Amino acid sequence: MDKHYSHKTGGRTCASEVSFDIVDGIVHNVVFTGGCRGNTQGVAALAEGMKAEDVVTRLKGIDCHGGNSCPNELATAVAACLAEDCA
Amino acid sequence: MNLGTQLLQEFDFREAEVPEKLLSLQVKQSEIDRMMVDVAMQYLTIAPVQGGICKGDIVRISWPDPAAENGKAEVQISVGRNFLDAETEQQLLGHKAGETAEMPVKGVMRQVTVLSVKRRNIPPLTDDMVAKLEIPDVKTVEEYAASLKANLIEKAKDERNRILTDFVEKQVMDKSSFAPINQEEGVYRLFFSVYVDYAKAAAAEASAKAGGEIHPSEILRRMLRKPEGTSKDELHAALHEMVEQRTKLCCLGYTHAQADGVTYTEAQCDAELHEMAKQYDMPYEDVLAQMGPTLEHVVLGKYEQYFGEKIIAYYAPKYDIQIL
Repeated sequence: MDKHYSHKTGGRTCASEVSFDIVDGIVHNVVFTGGCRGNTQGVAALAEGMKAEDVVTRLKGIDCHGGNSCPNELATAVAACLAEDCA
Repeated sequence: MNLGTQLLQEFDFREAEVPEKLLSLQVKQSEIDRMMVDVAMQYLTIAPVQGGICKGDIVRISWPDPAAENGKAEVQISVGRNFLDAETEQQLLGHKAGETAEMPVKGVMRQVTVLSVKRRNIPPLTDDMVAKLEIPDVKTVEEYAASLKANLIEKAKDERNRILTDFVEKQVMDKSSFAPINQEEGVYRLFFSVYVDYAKAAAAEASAKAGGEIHPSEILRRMLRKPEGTSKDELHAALHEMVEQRTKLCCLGYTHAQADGVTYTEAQCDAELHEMAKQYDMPYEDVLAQMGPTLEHVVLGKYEQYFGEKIIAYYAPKYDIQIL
C-alpha cells in the first residue's frame, strides 16, 4: 500500500519528527524536523529510492547518544509503517 | 544585602538610546502557511494519476538493459529531486503511464517506458483536522491560523526581549556610576567564586576523561569564548569584567526592587525550587545546582531578572510588529 507516514521521536533524539512516503515498498521524501541539518538531509538523501526493508536493516541500531539516533528513529518509523501494512 | 558596591547615580533605562530596528519585529506569513500545511500533511495521500508527470510525482520507469535481470532496468524516483539524472527527470515531465519515449539516462539514450505515475495529494486544511489537534480554544482553521500567528509573535518577542534587555542593561551600566566594587566580599565575591569553582570542577572532570591534566584556565578560556593563546592576565581581566557587570546588574535590580517594595528571600526561593523540582520530577539538589548553586545565588539571580523585567515592561509595548 502507498502511504505517507509521520513519526514523533518523543524527544529521544535531536530531530523531533521524521516523515516519509512508502510507495510500492520504496522509501521517498524523507524529512526530519529538527536535528543536525546537514546530517539529517544526508540520511534523507541516501534513503531516497531505497527499499523500505533495506532502510531498516542499514539504519537500525545506529547510536548517537543514549543508544538512539536520528537514523535509528527513521529505521524504527519505517519498521512501524511496514508492520502497520502487514497487520 | 551586601552588594559590595553602591549605585551612586543611575542612568534612567527609559532614556536609553534604542535603535528603531531593535523595536521592530517581523513575523512571516509564509511560516504560518507552512505550519498549516504541516498539519494537512498528516492527511497526505498517494494515488495513481492518469495525467502527465509533474515535478514531485513518484514515477516508476524501465528501459531495456541486457545486463539487468529480466533484460530491463527498473527504478522508482521522486521526479525533480534529480537523484537519478536531472536531464532524464526533466524529459519525463508531461509523459503518462504506459508511454515510451527515447531519452538520455545517465548519458546513454534509452527507450524509457513509464510504468506508473503516483502523486502526493495534500488536502486543504479543514476544521475537523484542526479539532483533532486538541488545542484549547482552537477548533477552526481561522482560529488555528490566529493561534499560530500569536505564538510566532510571542516567540519573536521572547527572542527580542533578551537582545533588548542586554542592550539597555549595558547602556545603563556604562552610564551609571557605582562606588568602587569590593572584590573581597558581597555579590562580586559570590559570583567570582562560582566561576572559579566551576572551572576547577570542570577541569578535574575533563582531566579525568582526557587522561591528562587540563588546567582550570583552559575551561575559563572556553567559557569566556577567548581564542587559544589568551594569557592568564587577559583571562583574569575578562572574568573580572563579567563578574563586575553582574555585580552592577544585581545592584541595579536590588535598588529598583527596593524602590518598588519588592523583596526576594532565600525561603521564598527555596519554596519555588521545591515546586519546580516537583513539577519537572527532578531532585531538588539538581534544580538548585542549575539555578544557584546556593540559595543566595538564586536570590541574586532574582534581582538581576527583576531589572530585566522592568526594562521589558517599559519597552515591549513599543514593539512594532509586522506580518510580512
